[in-house]
Formats: sequence, structure tokens, C-alpha cells
Amino acid sequence: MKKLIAIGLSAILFVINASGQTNLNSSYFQTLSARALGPSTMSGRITAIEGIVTSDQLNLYVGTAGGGVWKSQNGGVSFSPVFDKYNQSIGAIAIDKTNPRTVFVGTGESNMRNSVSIGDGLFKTTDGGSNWQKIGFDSTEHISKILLDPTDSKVIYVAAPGPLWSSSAHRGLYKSIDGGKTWKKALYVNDETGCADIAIHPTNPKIILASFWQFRRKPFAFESGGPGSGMFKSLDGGETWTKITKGLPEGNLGRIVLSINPSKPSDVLAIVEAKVPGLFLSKDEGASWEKLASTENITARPFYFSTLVFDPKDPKRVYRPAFDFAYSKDGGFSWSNTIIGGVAPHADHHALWINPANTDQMYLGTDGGVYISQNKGVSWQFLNNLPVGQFYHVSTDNEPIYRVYGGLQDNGSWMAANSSAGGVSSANWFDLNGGDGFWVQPSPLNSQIVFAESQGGNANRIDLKTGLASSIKPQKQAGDEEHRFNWNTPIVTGASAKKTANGKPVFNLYMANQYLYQSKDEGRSWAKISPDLTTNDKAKQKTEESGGITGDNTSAENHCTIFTITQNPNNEMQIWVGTDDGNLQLTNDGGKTWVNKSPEVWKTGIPKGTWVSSIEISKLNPKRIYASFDNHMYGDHQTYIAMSMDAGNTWKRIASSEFSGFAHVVREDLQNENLLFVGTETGLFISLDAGKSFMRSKYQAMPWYNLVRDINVHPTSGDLVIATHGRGIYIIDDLQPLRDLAKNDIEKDHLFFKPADFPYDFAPQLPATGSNIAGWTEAGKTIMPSFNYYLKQKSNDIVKFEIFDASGKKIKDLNGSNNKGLNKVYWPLSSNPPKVAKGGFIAQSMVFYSGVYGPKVPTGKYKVVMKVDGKLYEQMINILPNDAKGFSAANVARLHAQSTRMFQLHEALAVLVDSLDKTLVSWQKISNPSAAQVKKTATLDSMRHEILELKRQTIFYDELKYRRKVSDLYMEIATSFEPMTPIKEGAIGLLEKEFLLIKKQVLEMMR
Amino acid sequence: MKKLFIPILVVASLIGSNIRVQAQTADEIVDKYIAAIGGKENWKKVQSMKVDGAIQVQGLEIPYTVNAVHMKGSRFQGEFQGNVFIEIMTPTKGWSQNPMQGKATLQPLTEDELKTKVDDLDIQSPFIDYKEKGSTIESLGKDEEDGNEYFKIKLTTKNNNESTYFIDTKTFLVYKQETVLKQQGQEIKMAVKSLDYQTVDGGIKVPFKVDQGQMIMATKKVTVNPTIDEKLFSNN
Repeated sequence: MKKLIAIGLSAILFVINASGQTNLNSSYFQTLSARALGPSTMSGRITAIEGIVTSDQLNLYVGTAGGGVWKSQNGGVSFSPVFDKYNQSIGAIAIDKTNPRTVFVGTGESNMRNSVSIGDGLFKTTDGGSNWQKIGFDSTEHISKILLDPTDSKVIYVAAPGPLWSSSAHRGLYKSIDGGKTWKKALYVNDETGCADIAIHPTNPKIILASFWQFRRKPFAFESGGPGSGMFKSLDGGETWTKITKGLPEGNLGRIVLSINPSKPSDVLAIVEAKVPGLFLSKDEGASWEKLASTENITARPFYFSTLVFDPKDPKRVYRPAFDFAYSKDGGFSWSNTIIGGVAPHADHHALWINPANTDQMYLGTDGGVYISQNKGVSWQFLNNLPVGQFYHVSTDNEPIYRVYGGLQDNGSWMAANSSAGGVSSANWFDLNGGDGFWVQPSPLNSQIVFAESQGGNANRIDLKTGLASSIKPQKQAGDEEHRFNWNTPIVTGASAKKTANGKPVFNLYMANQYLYQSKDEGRSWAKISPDLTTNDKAKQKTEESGGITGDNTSAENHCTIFTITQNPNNEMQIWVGTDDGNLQLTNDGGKTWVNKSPEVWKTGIPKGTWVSSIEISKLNPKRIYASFDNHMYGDHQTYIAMSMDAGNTWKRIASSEFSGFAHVVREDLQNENLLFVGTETGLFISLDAGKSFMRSKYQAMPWYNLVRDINVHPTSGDLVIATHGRGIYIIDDLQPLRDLAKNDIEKDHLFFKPADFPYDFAPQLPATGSNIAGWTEAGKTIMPSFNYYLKQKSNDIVKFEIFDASGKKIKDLNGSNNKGLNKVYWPLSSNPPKVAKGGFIAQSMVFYSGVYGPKVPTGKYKVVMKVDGKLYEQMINILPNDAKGFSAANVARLHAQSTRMFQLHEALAVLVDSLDKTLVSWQKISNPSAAQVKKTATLDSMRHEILELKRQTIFYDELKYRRKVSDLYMEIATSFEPMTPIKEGAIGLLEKEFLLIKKQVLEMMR
Repeated sequence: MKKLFIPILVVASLIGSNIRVQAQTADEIVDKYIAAIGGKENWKKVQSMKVDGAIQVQGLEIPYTVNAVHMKGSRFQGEFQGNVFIEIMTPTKGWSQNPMQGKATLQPLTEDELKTKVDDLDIQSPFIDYKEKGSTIESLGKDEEDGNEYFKIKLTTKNNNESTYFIDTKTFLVYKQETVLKQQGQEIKMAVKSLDYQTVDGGIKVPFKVDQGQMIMATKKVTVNPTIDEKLFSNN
């Protein structure tokens, strides 16, 4: 008892201390919104598609491997993500057909490939995806199917294969009879065997078939099948079960796929993984079976392809989406995979939904997005609107508008400019290499050379000028053991101080299998600069035995390989290497000698042998080294980050209660050593205090549990570039506010950070992608000066900004957001718009735009005052000339002078019209006016009609009066990026002269 | 490092078991919300309301006035550069005028618009006597929004309009309201955030700032129970 209290006291003290410090949470940087570059071009792995028609709209829910759930209310014309606060790996979706806004989502994909993610429960919405609540399944990690009893939707079955990398009791077939409030296990076999599939008889839902699957992955092999696998049948809604064997293959079975014929429920089809696999038919509701077919498309890769769908109406038509898309017109006896017209769907299919109201129409989920067919699967069209690509890595170059490069799961390697006129569209992305893609590295010295690879180290050097690629894969040398390239083989560049024989600068290119290679000639020749740096544990090198019942050796399970390489940018003799079997190797002499530092890391509590996922050498202090570690392949999902302050001799753990998910990457900012980024399987985490505390990224317009595989800080822009494994590339433009925040005392109520000098510039507007082919399009980079500020608490009012020119005159008002934490407001380099003469219908005319569009300001220094909660804060901003873009100080000053003349003309006219209006109203009120007065009133009114466009009643009537002439010229100048030449400028003088005349006439009349 | 964390976990679980508050039902939360905005008694006395305010958007201020009689009618009227914007709602009909969107004079609202807006004629809180009004409520647990924690309550009216209210777990004031609008069969989610609650005549509390993302509706003055000519609620 005493002990408990003692512990309690010290802990409470600790808690008090902690709360006395900064109380950071993710809301503090909520307005640093990320740009979601996608793209939708190649999309990504789709794991579930369910649809239902409500209010005459075809609603679709699309589940993805790492990008959450996307909903369409229009049959796939457009989608929105509806699951961004939760786990992003989706295993199964089910819609309650009696209450179509009730939807269940099971997290944790069950296409059990090497890179499959891990789920976090079952979720339910009752309002079509607006709000979700978790209803259990904390520990099953993978869910393969959710089925509702067709006669009573309170009865729900969930098939859970369970944890992939460890033994666990959290697997099997689960049942709820109260809409998901409570669950019980309806069938459980053992802690190695989970439930892979389930089928319910459509008219007698007490009849249930379930398949159980013994399956386990290890880092170096997987095993599908075993004595636990089998098919089971219940006649009483899952209370009691019988194991079915009659007619099924002998021996151990693997994964079994089930499908009941909805038009003839006595007929059931099953794909059975076995030594002699095949498609089987039962004509007695699953009691006994006969073999029908065994094409490769039916039997290949059962761990990855588990979809078999009957047409909802035609009892003879069956679909097998797998490696190919195959269909049968005779109930499964014969199969065709012919595609005619349209595009061939991306290989590797995991979901198929057929519209029951129009069975010609179907939606196919593949490793490369969703395809739609309108003719029962014979022709297909790609839906270019789902940005759910699974990047492994991202890199950037040094082009003026820098490009991003990366490789994706089953979708090759791609590049795109980070910003583009009209936004970064799907058409702005360019394909560099086939297969699965991983690392893509641009040459640091030649923007026309890029290195990319497909699985197992098959790397190419791509010449963007010639458009040709050459293989650079290191080949075996005398004395080498068989090469072991990781599925995701590192390709890394590093700076070099060396020169070629003829004096040209070079850079270091690195690749690795179990040995490390360095090239100074763009991969034409390689120097092997290490011995085998792995444990070379032969017990972990048995990929030829991988697969279990169905052999599967694709290099995906290659093990005892080098996984990560980092060269010190300032010292090419120092190279760190991390291996998938836990070695953290260092050379300080360019590879002559190596030391394994991992035993030092293991002392921090990181388990021995843990996969080294990334190594980061601080750019600010080369003695500071970070590394991330991933032990999930041994069933351990902890976030392991370690840091050394003494060049790797001793290490300490970096931990945080905010962390979740195994770690892929740790990155230090290039300018502020307190700013640290960690990417894990379930989130992006940011530290402002060198790793003492972290906050989860939640308010950057990214999923809260994003699968963050790679992070880069772009050196010149300061952008944070993020590769996600399910939502493509994200960019948080300009880390400066975070750098400022990390430097300042955030206990202050308000902070107004010093704005950076801004060279005069505007975002390009042309040429842009045609809107019909744009697909998913994200805005380009905002190019404007920004004012960054911090509020300790949300303000009750908008934050006001006033900008003053050098003479002290206020020229611009801006409204800023009032969020807790960081806020940002952009200044479009304009001053306030002129007051424009009132009167008449002005929609969509230059008169209207004149009243909202301010002229561009000249270069120079401006004082910026921030007003918040009754307090004032000041900063200066320097707007610099930018001669290279045509914005010389003189040009901008002339443009400003011209627009100011027109601005003044607008305001003078507004004053004149205002007094004219007042006089006119007062004259019109005169009772019993004299004849002379009547005439005067009429004349003044006709003058008003000569100044303003008062006949205009619709946007389709163009009327040109004096105000329009002023507006047209004002807008031409205000929207221009260069001053008028003297000849053109004469037009201003003409309007000024005309105004004097009008003014004289009006004033005379009013006198 | 590990040592430091273990005791916290122990204590956290101890404290957790001691001070664990029973999950509050939707009705308990709603009752606290009604109390926080001035109480049912005060609100039931509110039969009409006039609000003067300004829409703040991109540095511009667009003044407006709302006149509303409980369950009978409402009229929003604003002006920008001489163009007058009007929206009128009654229990059966509605009109809008927006010269910038091709409606130079008052034009009838569509059926979808009418259905979504008719519940707004309830100028008292929709939670007051919600059962008598034919509405239902449902607790959706707690959720995080902008770094704070809120109770989520879903209200479905008899017209089948659905809104989720984010109620502050400390002040019990509504911070955010998400409404599902239905247009041509498509559901569109609209969110507004309420800020700067102030007590006005009659002891009721109302937000003086409503943040709609692109624009803020800033209230300048609230008049409770003014006499309002119901002719304002017609299209002539």
C-alpha cells in the first residue's frame, strides 16, 4: 500500500511538472495545411468496394490498402475521403441494406502481402460516413469480410484472419446479434488459424459456410496452409459447426474462397488452395464438392487473390478477379479473360461490386485503382479520381520548381513538378519505370538523369533527354555469394569532393544487396566497398521454400539484406548502413573498415535484430545520428527511434506517448535542430524540442493515421515532402512557421513571427492541364508573402492585419484566421480596392471587379500590424525587386503609378456620383417643383445615365458608360504584370480629361 | 526512460478508476447545453428576434439584418455595392434574391432548399422540447476537433434534417455544427463554428461570431422580442 502511494506521489509530481511545461498538442500547428499531390494517375491498391442506391443516387464506398475509405454519391464520378480520423488500412466494408446509411468498416487489409498494413478495429456509421464509432476488434489486426444477415441486419458476422506476424487468439469468426454492440466468437480453431471467408445462404441465413486459414508470415518467408485450415458449415446461425471434407482435396489446405449462387443458393463455388488446387462446386449447400476448373487465374497466389463473385441475377455467370479478370458463362466450368476495348485493368484484383439494379455495370478494385465496366467486365474504364497510391520513398531535386520522385507498390516509379500552373494534376505526373517502384533518385549534378528501380534491385539509369533507360544493377563478382537484394533495395546518392580525370565534379551513387556498392559514374561501374554487412543467417535465407502449399518466391521475402544507406553529406568517407536483420554498420574510411553499432542500440531496449528502417545524420551537427527501427515482422508494433549524440557510440531511445505504429523514418530539419519528424505506419509526428515531446499531425489536411513511409525537407524551399503508403505525396509548404515556433516561447498569448523578405513574384497561371483530363488536382504552391502568427488560445474574433507603406499610409487590410496555434495569412501584394461609384446592376462586370481588386504595391519596406484580442503587434516586411522575373523596382513602381492614377479616378468618380445621387434624391423630393426645376432634375438624371450603366439588367447586356471605361482600364492595369508603355499609357490621360469635363458639367448643374 | 513511464501508467489507471465519470447520455448533455445558453424557461419566452451584423469576407464587410418570428417567418437582408441580397422563409414557402447569381428579384426556393431551411424557423434552440417537435437525438460519443474534445450529439428533425453538434465538454456550449444538406439526392456536409457567446436581453446566450470557413457572420446587435411586421415574410 505504502509503495503504491509513494509511486503515486512521484508520478503526480511528474505530471504536474509536465503540465507546467509546454502543453503542446497537434492543434498548435493546425493551419499548416499540406498539399495532397496524389496523384490519381496510377491510384493504388483497392481492397473493398460496396455500393447501394439511395435517393436515386449510386453510393459507393471504396476501401483502400492505406488510404482509408472513399465515398461516392454518383457512381464513381467523384469521391471524398470519409475515414480520415481512423486507421487507413481497410479490410472489409458492409452496408446495411435495410438502412443504407449504416455502414461497417473493418480495418486491417487481408491481402496478406509483405507490405500489408495492420488494422485497428471495426467501425460503424449510421449517417453515411459523416460520423464513425469504433465498435471493437482492437486486436484482430486484419478483417477479411463483414456480412449482415440478409433477414435481420442486427445479426453481423466478421471474418478475422487475425494477426499475420504472431500467434494470437484474436482471430476467427465473430458474431453479434445486437447490431455490433456485443460480440462473441462463433468459431475458433487455434491461435495460428483465422477466418478467411464466410458466405450466408440468402434465404435461409441459418446456413453459413466459413473457411479457416492457417497462415503466418516471417520476415524471410511465409507459409500458407496447415492442419488448422478447412471449410466449416453451420445450420444454426453459427452455434454449431461441421468440418466439410467431402470432395475437397486431401492433405493440408490453404486459403479458401467461398461464393453462394444468389439465384440458386444450393450451388456454392469455392476456390481451394491445396497441393492440387482448383475451383470446386457444391450442389448441396456446401455439404459435398466436385472439382470444376484450375486455370492459373483461379489458383495463383491464393494469399493475395480471394475474390469470387456470382452475377446477382444470372445463375451461370461468375467472375474471378485475380491476377487477371476472368469470367465464366457456364457457372464456372470454363473461363475467359478476354478484354475488348477500353483499357486493360491493372493486374492484381481484390474487390468487385456489381450493381444489382444493372448487372452490366461493375466496379473492380485493383492494385492500381478502380475500374468501371458497363458490359459485364468485357471493357473497362479507369476512374482517375482516387489519389491512393502507395509510395515507399520520395526524393526531390534542385530545379527552380523542384520535382518530386518516388516509387509505388505495384505502380512503378514516377515524377512530377511539385507545383504547376492550374494545380498539380494527374497529367503532370510522368512514368519513369515499371514493376513495383521504391527508390527514385535524381542525379544531384544533372537534372536530366534519374535512377529508378523495380523489385529486387533491378535499377535503371533514365536519361530524360533521350528518353532511354539502361540497367545499372550491380552484378556478381568473383568470390561473391549469391546476391540478396531487398524487395525495396536502397538507391542513395551522396555528395563527393572528388573530380573526374578531366576535372568534372562527381557524386556518389550507392546500391546494396548484402554488400554495399559505390559508383562515381552514374552506375556504369560499381566498387564493392563492404563485406557482407548482414548477419548472413542462412536460416533466414529460404525464400525458395516460401509460400507454404503454393510456392511463392518473388524477391519479396529476400532477407539478410541491406535496407538503408546514408552518407554524411560533408564527409564521403563516413557511411551508415542498416540491414533488415538488425545490423547498423558504420564506416569512417569509405568502406575499408566497418563497425556494427547495433549492440549499442539494443541496450536502449530496442529488441536485438530489429529491422533498421532509416538512418539520419544531422546536417547541423554530424555527431548527432538518428535511426528508426521496425520490428513488426516479429509481431511487435512499437515505435522504435534512437538517437546518438556522439557519432554513434552510445544511443538513447526517443519515445512518446503520442507515437503509434512501427517506425519507417526519422528526419531532422535542415535549419532548426529542435525540429524533428517521425513517420510511422500510423502517422506523422513532429517534435519542436529535439525529441523530448511529439505531437501527431492531425490538422494538415492529411489522415490522422497516415502511413508515412518517407519524409524529406527540401533544402531551398524548406518544404516538408511526405511519402505515404496509401495517399500519395503530401507537401507542407515552407516549414518556417514551425522553425519559428520551435525557437519561441509558446506560453505567450500571441506571437507574430518576422515575415521573410519576399522577392516580387506571382504563381504561374499557364500553361495548365485541360480540365477534362486533370483527374485528382491539387493546388500549386502559393507564391505570396505570408504572415505567420501563433495564438495560445483560439481568439473570439478574426485577426486583423493592417499594412502601412513607407510614408505611414495604411494601404491594406487583411483578415486572418483565429485558430489556436499557428495561423497564416497571405498578402497578394495588392493594396485595398478603390471605392467605386454605386448604381445599377454590376454582377460579372469590370465595375464589380474594380470594387474588390486592389492595385499591386511597389517594392520596398512595409510595416505590418497584427490586431488580436485588443492587442497590437508589429513586424516589417521587405518586398524585394525580382529582375529575373521582370519585376524590377522601376517596372513595379511604374505599374503602381499607373494603377494609382486609375484608382484615384475611380474614387473621384465615386465621390462625384455620390453627391450627384444625393442632390438628385433631394430634388426629386421637392414638392410642386417649378418647370425649371423639373428640367434641371431631368438633366441631372440623364447625366447620371451617361456616367453609370443603368440600362444593364442582366449579365448578357454590355453597356459602356464612363464608369465602365474607367473600370475596364483600371482592371487591365491592376491585373497586369508589366507597366503600360508610354503610348498605351496615354489612355489614362484621356479618361482623366474626360472626367474633368464630366465633373465640371455635373457641378455646374448642381450649383 | 522506461522507468519514468511505468509509474505514470499505474497512477493513470488508479486515477482513472477513482474519478471515472459515467458516460453521459445524450439527454444529460443536451440539458447541460440548454442550461449553458440560458435555460429552457428564458428561451421559451423568445418569440421574435432581430439581429444586425456583417458578413466578413476577404477584408470586406457586408452588413445584414435578420428579422425572425418563431416558427412563422424569417427574412435575411444584406447589401453589397448597392446590390441587395434577400432570403425569406415561411413554414410553407421561401424566396431568395441574389443579383450576383442571376436572381435580380425575389425568386422561389427549390423544394430541397425549403426542406433544409424550414427547421431554422425554430429560433429557440432545436434541442428545447425536441421530442414534442418530433426530433430525435443520439449520442455519437466524444471526438476531437481543433485540438479540443467535444461530445457529439446528432439531432434529426421531423423534416429529416440531420445535424451533428459538437458540444464543449467543459462549457457545454456548441462549438461546431455539421449539417447534412440534401440537394438533388446528393448529401453535402456543411460546417459552422460558433464563437464569442454573449448573454443578451432575456438572459439567453448566443454566439456573436459564426465561422463558415470562407466567411464569418459577425453579430453587432441582438434585439429580443421586437415587434416585427410579418409582411416582411412575403415576396411583395
